Amino acid sequence: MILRRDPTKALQVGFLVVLAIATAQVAWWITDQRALARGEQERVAALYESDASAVTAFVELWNAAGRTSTVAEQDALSEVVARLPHLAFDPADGVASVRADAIEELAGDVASRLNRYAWEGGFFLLVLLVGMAVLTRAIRDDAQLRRRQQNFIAAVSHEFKSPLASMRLSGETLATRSTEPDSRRLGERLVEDGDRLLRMVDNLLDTARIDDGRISLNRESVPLREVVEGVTAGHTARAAREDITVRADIPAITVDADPLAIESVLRNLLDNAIKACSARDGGEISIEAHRDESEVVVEVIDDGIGFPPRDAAMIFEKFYRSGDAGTNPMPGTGLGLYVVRRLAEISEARVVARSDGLGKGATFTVTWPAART
Amino acid sequence: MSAPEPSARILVVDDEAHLAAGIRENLLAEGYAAEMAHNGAEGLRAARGGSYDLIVLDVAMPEMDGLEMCRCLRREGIETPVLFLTVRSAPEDRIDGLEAGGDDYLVKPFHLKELLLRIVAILRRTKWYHETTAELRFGGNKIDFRTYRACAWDGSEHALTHKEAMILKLLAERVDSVVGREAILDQVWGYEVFPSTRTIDNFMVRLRRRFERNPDAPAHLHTVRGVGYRFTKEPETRAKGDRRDRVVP
Repeated sequence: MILRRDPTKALQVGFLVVLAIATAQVAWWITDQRALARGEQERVAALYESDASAVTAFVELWNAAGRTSTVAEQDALSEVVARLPHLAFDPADGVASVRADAIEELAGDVASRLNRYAWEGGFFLLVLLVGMAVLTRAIRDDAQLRRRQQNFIAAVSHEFKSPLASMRLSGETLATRSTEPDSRRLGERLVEDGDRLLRMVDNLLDTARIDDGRISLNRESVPLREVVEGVTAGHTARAAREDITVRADIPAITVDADPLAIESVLRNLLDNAIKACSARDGGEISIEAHRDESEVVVEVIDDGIGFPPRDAAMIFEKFYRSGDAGTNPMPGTGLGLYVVRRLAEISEARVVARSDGLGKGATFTVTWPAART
Repeated sequence: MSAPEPSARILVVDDEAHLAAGIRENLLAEGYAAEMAHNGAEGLRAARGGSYDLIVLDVAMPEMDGLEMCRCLRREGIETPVLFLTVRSAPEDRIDGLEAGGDDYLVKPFHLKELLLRIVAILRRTKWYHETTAELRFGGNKIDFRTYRACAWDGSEHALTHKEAMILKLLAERVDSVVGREAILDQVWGYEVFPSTRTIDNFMVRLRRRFERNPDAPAHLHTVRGVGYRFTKEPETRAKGDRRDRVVP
């Protein structure tokens, strides 16, 4: 099964993961820096102590050697000690010690650095956490919205199709069981209009599902001839009434596609061709297919009203209808060909429309991957 | 179109009152005895009380949906065939319906002729089931097709589902012959309601676990590679059997 997911959601989730990693990294960085600062304080304090011990030991050794200090030597010693501002030295007893204010100053420096790490790091953490919260909420809201949309689609599907099924059944009952020819005709009309309404609802629901990014396809080997026969059978009565001949010449080939998707694509193309012919008060539609190496090419050719060649790409756009809405002789919502294009894209198929201009018919070509034999 | 079993009793359960009435009227016109219920709970009560030959069951209904109602029936051992009606057409929806114990699945809006044909097919399958062999004994197993109860070679008791019993019965009827997967689908499920014949393989695995002494080397329920299955009443081991009968994993 192929399940198409929304790329925006994938991006959101990906970004959330990056934020989570960044948050963990910042938290680790704060902890690491704080440990480093504390370690540095201890190391410097130990160095101070070491300096003091060295000076004291030097004086003791000097005295032990029985050397008398000259004034110049004592001045030199004082000069050395002066270059170690963190030490206090008493020349009288020859003892050096670490100055209390130097230790306080060192502790103050480290405390200020720790404080900065705490605030700055805390701020970054807060920004990241708020970002994550906002993103999580957006993803959750989005998921809820999608769920609501899906529920809505399911509800619409049920609310439309159930009465439609009832209406169709009533029409069919009249058309098949009534002894009155007029009633049978009324029943046939009911069935036909119900089917038209159903095609519209199906296209609306397909559009909603495609746009929602959630359409599941089960690709399998689909016998093309049977699908085309099923699709044309559903349009026979309407085509005959509107003086349209539908010919289908399909060899026994199989297509690698989702059966519902291929049925929807062909149904919409035939529906479109019938509307195009109907706008000219009749005509001919031909459905042909052939295998071309690893692909199956299906062509739906009609001699209906056609379209200007410049519209060839636009007609597959959502809600696009060729010409002026007020004067367009073809009825429709502008969704059928959009559904065709999107389903074809998702099925790894291609669809192309060709026409030599208004009044010159049109050819719609769909190319599917052929089923592996 | 005339019903093969004019006396067949059919229960139509659908919350869409007009649709249920429409189906009922058509069934009556075809010569069936048809009754209606408008939600799952009401349908369940009716199905428990009356002995119906078929239930035409809507999936989405208030109080209790069709799937739940069907599961309840199967849990209670009521094996009346069920034809689901639903607006949902995705393959997974079909599988849900059939896994709940349904026999067939028709998407709304449906063609009247197709509904009637499917009903005829289900009733024909049910008739075949009830009119043929009532009991099967092989390899120390005893299967009662009327009660769907089975006593296995190791003394364990099993309750069979309708489909399991139908598969066993079909294979037993064609003892020693190869029955293709497509033939099993056609006879047991009817229309192409399952997406794959692999489903039958899963059923066979379950049956072998219950009725074969060594499910990995079956002595009665043999796989014929790439074709289907073959049932033998007498144990037939792989050593002396056909090479084609090797079990496909």
